Amino acid sequence: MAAGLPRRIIKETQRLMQEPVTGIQAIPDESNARYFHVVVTGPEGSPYEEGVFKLELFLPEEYPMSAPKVRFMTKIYHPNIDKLGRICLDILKDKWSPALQIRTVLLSIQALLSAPNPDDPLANDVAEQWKTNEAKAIDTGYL
Amino acid sequence: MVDLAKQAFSSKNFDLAAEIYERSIREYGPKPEFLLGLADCFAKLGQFERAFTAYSKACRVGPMNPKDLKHLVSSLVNTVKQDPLINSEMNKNVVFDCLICRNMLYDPVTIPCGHTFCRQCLVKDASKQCKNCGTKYLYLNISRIKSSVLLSQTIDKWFPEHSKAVEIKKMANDAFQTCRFEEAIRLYTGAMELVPNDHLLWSNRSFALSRLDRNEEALEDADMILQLRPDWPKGYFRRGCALYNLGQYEESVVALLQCLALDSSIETAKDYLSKALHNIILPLSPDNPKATELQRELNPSLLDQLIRTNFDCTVLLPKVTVDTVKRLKDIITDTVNSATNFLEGKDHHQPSQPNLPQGTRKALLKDPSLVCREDFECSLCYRLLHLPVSTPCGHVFCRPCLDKCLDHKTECPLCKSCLAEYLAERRQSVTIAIENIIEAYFPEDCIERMSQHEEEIQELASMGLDSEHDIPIFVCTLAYPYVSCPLHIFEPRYRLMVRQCMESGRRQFGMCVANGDEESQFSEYGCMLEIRDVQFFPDGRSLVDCVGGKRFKVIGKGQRDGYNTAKVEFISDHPVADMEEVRGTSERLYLVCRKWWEELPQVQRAQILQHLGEFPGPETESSYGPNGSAWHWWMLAVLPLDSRIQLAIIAMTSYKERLRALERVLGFLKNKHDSR
Repeated sequence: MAAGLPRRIIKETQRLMQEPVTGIQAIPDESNARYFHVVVTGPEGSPYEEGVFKLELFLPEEYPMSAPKVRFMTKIYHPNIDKLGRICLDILKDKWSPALQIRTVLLSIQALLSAPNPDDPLANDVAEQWKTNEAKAIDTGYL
Repeated sequence: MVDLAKQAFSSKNFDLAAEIYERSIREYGPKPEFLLGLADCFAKLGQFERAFTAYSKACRVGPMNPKDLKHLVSSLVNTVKQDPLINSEMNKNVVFDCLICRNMLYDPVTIPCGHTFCRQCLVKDASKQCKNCGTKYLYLNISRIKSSVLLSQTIDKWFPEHSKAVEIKKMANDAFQTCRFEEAIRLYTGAMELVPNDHLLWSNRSFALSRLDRNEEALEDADMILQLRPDWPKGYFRRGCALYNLGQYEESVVALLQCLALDSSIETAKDYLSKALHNIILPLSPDNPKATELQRELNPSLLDQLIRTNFDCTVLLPKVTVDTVKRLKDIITDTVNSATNFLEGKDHHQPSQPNLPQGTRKALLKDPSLVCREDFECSLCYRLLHLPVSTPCGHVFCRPCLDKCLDHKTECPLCKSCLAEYLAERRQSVTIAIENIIEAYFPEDCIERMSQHEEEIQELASMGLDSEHDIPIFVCTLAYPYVSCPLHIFEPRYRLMVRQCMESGRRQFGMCVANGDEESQFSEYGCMLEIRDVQFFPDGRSLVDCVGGKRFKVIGKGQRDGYNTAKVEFISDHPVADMEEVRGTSERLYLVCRKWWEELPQVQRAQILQHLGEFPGPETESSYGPNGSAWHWWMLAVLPLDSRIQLAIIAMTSYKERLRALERVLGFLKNKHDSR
């Protein structure tokens, strides 16, 4: 369509810049306003504390009718995130609602780092480790 | 005789009934039954003077009950009754008001027609009908509609004193219920300090005062209600009651009739009306100073005196007696006009007078900085709400935004409650209150948002009109000119596409066939489909009846809202050069095809008929126009051809060539058939 970016995306971007969330930074790509460079810092008290994780977030043409596509660019040892950085998070899949937004998605990902869900794994080996030997898993997470 | 009169009365032949009663009175004397019957006839005939005389006579010859005046009451009510006051024009002024209690909304519930009322008012209202637009609701379960989140929040935020007053009012009402009237009055008075123009407080206090026989004060409060809301029928009722209690029956009758003129369904008002009329009609006791005075003045015969006492003189004020029904009419007309003017906002007092009403509540807003545009943004598109619709779970979205969500999932995007029922009702009603708030408080943004919407529609409407505007593409199957193409639409993006086609009024889109696994890969050629009819299923799917239109070549591809679009060049045939030859081939082939069709087994024919319709008629002159004949496209649609061949044929710009291709296909099929 000839008309540019939907107002919703413009507003969301503005709000992300004006009122950033602690530990989350999302900057749109210079050449593609639907593509965001995201940096999430590991939440306090989690094995990922002080870790800095790069992610990419892409808003598909159907957004907000379909969920943004988010992927970890930094390798992370987490039961719900696989080697390619793909994230297993319900709101990115069937629990997506168009009333959610970039901000809420990134907050959920941050929360996922604090509270992994080994019962719904994407990386089976990591989930196994989490379930059988959490301490070791947490150690590995720190690396 | 009496039976005959009653029969005539019940078959509405009042003249005849009156005649019979009059004859009976002459023959058998003035029995109460006859007099009452006669009076009822006069009342029904609108001859109120004669009716009053007859009633008062009846009253003198026997006991009379206020209930005996029911025909008089109903006739009077019919005389003054007005058409429903509220019309769509007045909707514009409804901002935060409930149209039942005419007060600021409390616990607001938006019903499917888009009008909003206090929950309690809706529960109490037994009419099963929207008081605003008249929509009938036989099965509306109010407990299943949640309160409007946006309206509740806005009222709490903008008018905080209102919610405080509501709390106090609740306590006051409790006190009233338990007959602690003094306490109730004190609480109502306290609440009035917070919201001096809440007429319900004045009304309740008036009622409480009357229970304590403080009727003068009750009347003062009632008159205050009428100043605040001259459009509220119950205000006149309160005045009528207070006057009744003060023994001013004539004035009371007038006030009660004013009430009934605005809402003829208030039964308690009718009860009071008959009681008041009864008191008027009852003969004055001899020790009544008025009676004595009259007697002294005129010294008439006893009967004459009583009649005079009751009717001809000063006691019954000209407001109620007969030739005064006309004057009564003027009073009623005034009442209705002032109510109408009030609702239309013409007659509003200046906001500088704090104790007087302000029509729109805008002036009441103490702190204008509380008005925040963001509160009225759609949580889906982040723009100012446009065509706001309310879900049963109490959330508000732009209608097009919610429709898009429902294409994907039948649940509320905010609270995830199921909206299957909402979707099945296909309700389209805009929530008037919210639309009015937006228009009143954000007029500039509202105009801008409206023009945005119009631009969007315009954008959709111009698709395919010029090279700038892409046409939407449905990637599914091949369509042919003139051939019908029924489609079952279930994919969210195509639901949206069909809706947009319909809303914009273009009612057409391009049909292409898939050409690879990628979504954006579709054939280079296609055919326009025009929508003839859409039938919706309760779950949002639809059956779309289309017919093929112009053919096109895709010259550029794009996407919009998740579906494919294309820039196209329309194709049409070159003019036929060797007309005779083409006509010959065409007529010959038509007969071949017709024969083939007629020889097809019944089952196959039925299937084809269902999808593509009847075998088209033979050539006409238009068959040599831009697309050739209808029948050859129909044959091409029926024949089991590879899509590459079909596309090649669609691309041909010569009717003659397509006929040749068809002939080759038919020959090939015949050979295949013969060799079996």
